[in-house]
Amino acid sequence: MNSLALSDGVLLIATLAIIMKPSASIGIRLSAAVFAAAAFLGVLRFSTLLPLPGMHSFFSGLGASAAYPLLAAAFLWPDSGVAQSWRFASIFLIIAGAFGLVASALEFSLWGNLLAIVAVVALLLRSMKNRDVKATMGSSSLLAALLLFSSQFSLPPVLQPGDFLHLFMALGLTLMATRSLRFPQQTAAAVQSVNQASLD
Amino acid sequence: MPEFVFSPTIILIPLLICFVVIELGVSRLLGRSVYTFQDSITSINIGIMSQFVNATGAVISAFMYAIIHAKYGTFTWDLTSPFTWIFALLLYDFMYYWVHRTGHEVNMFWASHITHHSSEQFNLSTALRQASTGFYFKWVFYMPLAILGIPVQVFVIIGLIDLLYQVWVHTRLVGRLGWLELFLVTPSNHRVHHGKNDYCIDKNYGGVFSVWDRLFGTYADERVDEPVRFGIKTPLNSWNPVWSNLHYWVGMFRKAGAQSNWRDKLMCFFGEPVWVPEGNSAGGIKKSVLTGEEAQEPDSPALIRLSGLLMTVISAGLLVLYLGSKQQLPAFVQIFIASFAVLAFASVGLLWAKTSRRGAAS
Repeated sequence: MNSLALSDGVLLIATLAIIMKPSASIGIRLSAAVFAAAAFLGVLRFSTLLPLPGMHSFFSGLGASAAYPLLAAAFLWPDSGVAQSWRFASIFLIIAGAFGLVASALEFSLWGNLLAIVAVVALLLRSMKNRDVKATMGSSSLLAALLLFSSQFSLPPVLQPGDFLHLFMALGLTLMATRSLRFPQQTAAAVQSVNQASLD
Repeated sequence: MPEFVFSPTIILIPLLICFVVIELGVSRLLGRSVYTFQDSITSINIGIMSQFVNATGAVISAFMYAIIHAKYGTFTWDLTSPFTWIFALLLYDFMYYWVHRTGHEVNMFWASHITHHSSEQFNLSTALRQASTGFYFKWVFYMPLAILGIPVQVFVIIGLIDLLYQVWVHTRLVGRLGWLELFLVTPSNHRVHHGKNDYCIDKNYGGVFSVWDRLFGTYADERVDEPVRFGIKTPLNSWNPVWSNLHYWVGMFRKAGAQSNWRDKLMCFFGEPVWVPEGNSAGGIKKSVLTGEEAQEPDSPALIRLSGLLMTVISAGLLVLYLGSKQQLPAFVQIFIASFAVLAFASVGLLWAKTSRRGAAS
């Protein structure tokens, strides 16, 4: 078992914890589910238990082009339908995923990276504006994950570029998800209002 | 002169029109009236127009599928194994269920799919009444097949089988089919899908198998005590194939433009078709309001009716020629021909509307 399988395992545990946290918003849990799928496939791939590289890179691409923007949207607008309802979070994911697929088909590989960076920078700016230490640390960690991975930074023979991506993502997502618990405005009333809008 | 190349669609077009004629003949023999002239011609015209437009859309879908398959396709499938085909059919049909459900439950997708439901009749010609604007979103739902590595040719053939199966269920001449109703989409449970009675709304989305509906709680049996009334709750009242494709889009954009905040504007596109802004009961096009109006068969002069029929026959022939030679035509010529077809159908629709109004006025 190599370091990538282990670090993907850490990311998988972190994302599963977020998915199972009922107090985290639906948008955040859904984006965590995409990251979890990618991490699970990463564990299978890098541990050579069941290497499915195509599927792993698909879910990684979906994570960059759809799950990061969904995460950002759910944090920036915690009372919105995207944050609070399965329906709108899924629609967001499908549409963002479709754009990601088109970009991938057109060999515009920058699309996913660009969206992920923009989403994380937006999270960081909002966290700093709100003087929220935990969220700032979380979004900084997510930004570090992306920057270190794109610069292919490594500490051979212990850590490869992918390890930094997985570990900083795990840390960042955990901090951000814990932070979401402290949003007082995510009240039952907000959830009820979104659900009511869907039912009307 | 471009060389003519046969494809399954080319053979299917005259075949499907023959099925319509056979059903018409059988219904006459049985003494049942299941066809009205202008509705059926409009359905066929809408179908032909969608083929002109979707000939390009289908290429986009197949192109996307092929690229995603080549990039991410995970497993290798044995084309000679029945398992491959059965698995592909089941997965395709499962994804079709979700495409179809999304087409009904998300407003901007319903804007496309409503065309298929806009007929007040239910017969084989209704099956041909397909939207010209649906291709832009449907392909996304089938990507799991590409990622699993289902070969493009399997995807295309299974897609065709799934589509063809759905033709025959658009009939009122076949009753309930006993135990087959338990797992297959049948004429009986598909009639419910096309109904505008309250118990029919958002039910029976399956393509070949009804098990998905039973699994996700969207199944409803046809009721003996309440005959199905076909169509949409706010009738289209138009024989214009172009308008039948665009009317809901126009209503949706108008409704969105009338909203004062972004949340409500977005809800107009991504909310359910029944959604109306808070505190406003007269939002726009609503699925939930049954107006009670039925689209009437307008009394157009026989010559005008004949012109519509002639237009349909000519355009069907042109479509066959177009599909047979389009691969050798430059893209701008394809776009020109498709645009010309749309304009031609719009003019027939306008002509019929004008004469219908005159007939009604007199």
